[in-house]
Amino acid sequence: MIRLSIPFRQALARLTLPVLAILAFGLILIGKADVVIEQYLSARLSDVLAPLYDVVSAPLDAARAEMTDVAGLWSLRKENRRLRAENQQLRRWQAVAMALDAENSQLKATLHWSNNTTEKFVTVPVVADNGGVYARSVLVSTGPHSPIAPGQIVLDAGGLVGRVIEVGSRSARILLITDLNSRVPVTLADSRGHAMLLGNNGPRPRLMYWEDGDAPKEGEQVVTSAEAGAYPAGLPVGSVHYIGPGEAELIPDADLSRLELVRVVDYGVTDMLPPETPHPAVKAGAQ
Amino acid sequence: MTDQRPGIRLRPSFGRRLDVWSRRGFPAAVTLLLILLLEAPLGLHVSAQLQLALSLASLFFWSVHRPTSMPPWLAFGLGLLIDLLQMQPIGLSSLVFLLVVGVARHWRHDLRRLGFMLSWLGFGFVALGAVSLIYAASSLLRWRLLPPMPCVDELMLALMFYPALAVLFGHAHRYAAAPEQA
Repeated sequence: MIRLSIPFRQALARLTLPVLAILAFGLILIGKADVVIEQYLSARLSDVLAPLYDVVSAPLDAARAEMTDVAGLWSLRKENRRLRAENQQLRRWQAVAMALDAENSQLKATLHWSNNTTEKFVTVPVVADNGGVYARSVLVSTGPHSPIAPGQIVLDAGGLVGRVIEVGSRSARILLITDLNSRVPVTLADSRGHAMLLGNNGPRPRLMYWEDGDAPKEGEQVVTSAEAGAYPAGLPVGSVHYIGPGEAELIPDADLSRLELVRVVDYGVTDMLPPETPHPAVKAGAQ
Repeated sequence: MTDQRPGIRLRPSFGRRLDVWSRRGFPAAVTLLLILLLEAPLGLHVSAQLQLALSLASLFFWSVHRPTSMPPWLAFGLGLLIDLLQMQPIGLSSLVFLLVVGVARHWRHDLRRLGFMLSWLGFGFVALGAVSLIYAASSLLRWRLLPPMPCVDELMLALMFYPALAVLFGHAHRYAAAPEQA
């Protein structure tokens, strides 16, 4: 160890804070000019944290499941009655769906419909709630050599969750549709009108820019639109809810506050991510 | 800081040195643990705000009461970690944390003399400054006016949790985090 004189050491100690502050300021400027470093660092950090949270999440999930079970015991009879009714209703819907499916394939055959894309997907666990004050994202744990790539679409059991923006060697980061940077072109299911879904950091993204005369109706289903080539058409996103005249929000179908398992689907939609773009994440966010 | 009192003493044993180091590292470890814990999917929708609020409280407390255990490089590192976890402009939290440490260190003798209520108030002002700076810089760097509500939540959470943390940390300061008791 180098022996330094006490006054010199004191001077050095007094200097650390301003020097580090200047360094931090420099980092902000560098980060603003060039996102490569930040992305590299955050991907490495995610790779370290993902396996860690993977281990921790097992007992956490178990505890949560136990809690739900205990809570469920209290309302067993009521729940049973509700489920029976729901089951009956679903059976009716199943019959309708099967009839429609048959009709659909018949019509497709008549039209010589050739859009039979086969999408590949991987199911991965969400291990960390990697959001920030001004960012809504989650971290998923992937195995090594997973086929996940930036730009792929993420769904949960209910509907659209977001898209992959960053991939490390054992983790990937998903930008949720509620993030400030998220823009999703959508179609209103009933009127077939187009609109834009804008993330606002809150639990419910805003629905905006619909055409005149095509105002979304309260409760109307909203699905993704293939416009701009960013998403495949027809993925369920949510339903419309008005908070004021002309101000529509979307209640997401996906359970975004409690994501546990998500499906990362490769629809081959890469129009928005030209190969020469060094950092798809920025593009994916801003579109 | 090394022991600079005059006199000849025995070289401390390995166990004792370990004890000293663990006590010295207590504030860092607790702050890091809080940050990582709040990163887990707990289903809290203010966990990001809480992450920053608790870090601010911890940084402030330790900078006032035991600045040797909260060196500037640690504040810098914790800030960097938060920036990476929260997808904030990198370096922003580091800068804010360093400013908090600087202010707390500068006023630490006065703050310690003032008693709890006034130091809470002092923390309130520091947190207000930190949160406003984060809000302004985040808006400026993204070049758009961000919703201010998350930052208000941050400030409120920081103020709410400071007394509880101060009690726990105060206890730790006297026992678990006191290297002189090793």
